[in-house]
Amino acid sequence: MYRLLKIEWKKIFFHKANRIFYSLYFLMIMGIILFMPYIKPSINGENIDLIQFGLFNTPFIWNNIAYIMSFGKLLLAIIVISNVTMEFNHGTYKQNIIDGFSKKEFFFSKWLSAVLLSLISAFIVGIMIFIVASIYNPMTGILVNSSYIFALFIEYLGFISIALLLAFLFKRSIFAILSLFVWNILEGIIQIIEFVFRKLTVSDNNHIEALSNYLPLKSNGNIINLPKFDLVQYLTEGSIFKETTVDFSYVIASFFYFIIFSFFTYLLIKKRNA
Amino acid sequence: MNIVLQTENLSKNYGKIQAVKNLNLIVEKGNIYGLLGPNGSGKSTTLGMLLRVVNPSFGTWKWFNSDKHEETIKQIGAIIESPKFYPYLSANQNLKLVSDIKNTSYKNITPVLELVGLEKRKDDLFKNYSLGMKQRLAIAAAMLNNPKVLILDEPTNGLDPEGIIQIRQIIQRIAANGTTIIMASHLLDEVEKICSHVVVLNKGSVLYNGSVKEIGNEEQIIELSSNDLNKLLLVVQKSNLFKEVAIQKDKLIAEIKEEISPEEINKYFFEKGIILSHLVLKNANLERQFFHLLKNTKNHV
Repeated sequence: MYRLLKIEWKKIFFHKANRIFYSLYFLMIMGIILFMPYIKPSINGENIDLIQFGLFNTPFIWNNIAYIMSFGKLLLAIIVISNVTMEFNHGTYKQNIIDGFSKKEFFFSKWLSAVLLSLISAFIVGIMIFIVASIYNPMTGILVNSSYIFALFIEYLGFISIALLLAFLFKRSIFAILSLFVWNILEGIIQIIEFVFRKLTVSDNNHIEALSNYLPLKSNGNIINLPKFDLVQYLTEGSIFKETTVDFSYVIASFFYFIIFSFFTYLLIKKRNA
Repeated sequence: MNIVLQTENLSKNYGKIQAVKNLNLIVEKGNIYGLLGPNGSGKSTTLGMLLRVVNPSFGTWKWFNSDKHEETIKQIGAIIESPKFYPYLSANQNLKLVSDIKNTSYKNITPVLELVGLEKRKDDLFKNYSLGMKQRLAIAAAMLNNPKVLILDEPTNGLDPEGIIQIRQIIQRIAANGTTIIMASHLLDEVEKICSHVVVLNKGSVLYNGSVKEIGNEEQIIELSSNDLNKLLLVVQKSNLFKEVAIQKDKLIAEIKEEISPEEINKYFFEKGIILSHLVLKNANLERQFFHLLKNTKNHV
């Protein structure tokens, strides 16, 4: 495993542009959280101080920041896709195999680096939230709802496993990224079909959760939802956010997809001529 | 046992097309093998299968009498198609990466760079290399683990004359150390110059597998010329000493039916009233033999 990561490290970090890009990515993760107190969007001419609304209050801070950071999965996917497709662009995938890399080793070198990148990203977000939370809140109960970081990690994992599959499948970054959008649109269409179908057949459809919520991208996006807020509660109690907890059914679904897609990717490489 | 490579009924189908069919091949140690064949004869597919980048449809192969391909590959150095490296890395960094993949020490990097004469350019980025240098770096990378077998796929393709000579010298230097070399090429002249053995492939099957000398020994050809080429041609065509006459620029080239000395030939033409200005008797070259082999199979089909 160490050898595989060492090889990946050389492929990535001996490249100056990569070094800059990765550094910017991690700086951005940290920067977004640190700069948030200074972001004051204006609505109807009035500047809204998100901190005053309790953005950084425990336990809501974990959900709030994890939700914002979950969009980082798009950047992660682009990193993973470009990291895989560059091997096909340079013809080095084939040459690596000829040089003695087994297809399994090649797959795991890409897979491991992607998993590690997700882990580091989620870890940094966790640390940053902890630091900010401890500045704005008393230390007691600060870790309540920190399971959102675990959920964020699984969301990253689920998403990069799809990115890996598409990258190996299409071998070109532009097709892989476009197909990610197409995939998302297809899931949207399936969701609409299910909705219409239910309207027509089931009379009391509000109690049953839509099955299409468990499609790969949908379940992945459902792991961390937009924080719930309540204006009435803000007027009466001074805090706008409502407490939420991680919905582990989506975490499990996404982890399941992560395993399945990783396995598919491996099979694809194994069966296909290099 | 000095058998380096043995294949058994190795086959590959791309859809309906049989790129390689039932290939049975034996490669012995210490020789330079030329893998010859026209475009599309299955050379690259065969090498691809032997290097496990192409999954065979059928059949098996053994390197060094072992079918543990993930292990034996570490004793083989190979370049197929054009040299492939990370363009944004220097030669040295690329070789370190290949060393990691091959699981060998970085100590070999300096000797292989010296072997191909790139030690002074080792810190230049790969993308700034000329094609000849890229090809030499590819050979260096293939030699990193002191392989028992070196596989090359058209190593001089696209190079200038100087580059071609450099590559040939490197190949011969490597072969002198006892490394078995398998070289695919469609340059017959090159194979004749470098290789000790040839394997001729056509339409995915082996037509010939043996030494270069033997393939050329089977027939003799003669080159003739005189002032009046047309008259000469008439005489040669009528004569029963020769067959398959052809005009090449200012010369006649013919195959000899039965063994005959140059003196007798000269005398024969003198008696017919022709004075020869040019008379060379030689063994048929590889090119001629190659086309013979291909022609024979076409007749069989």
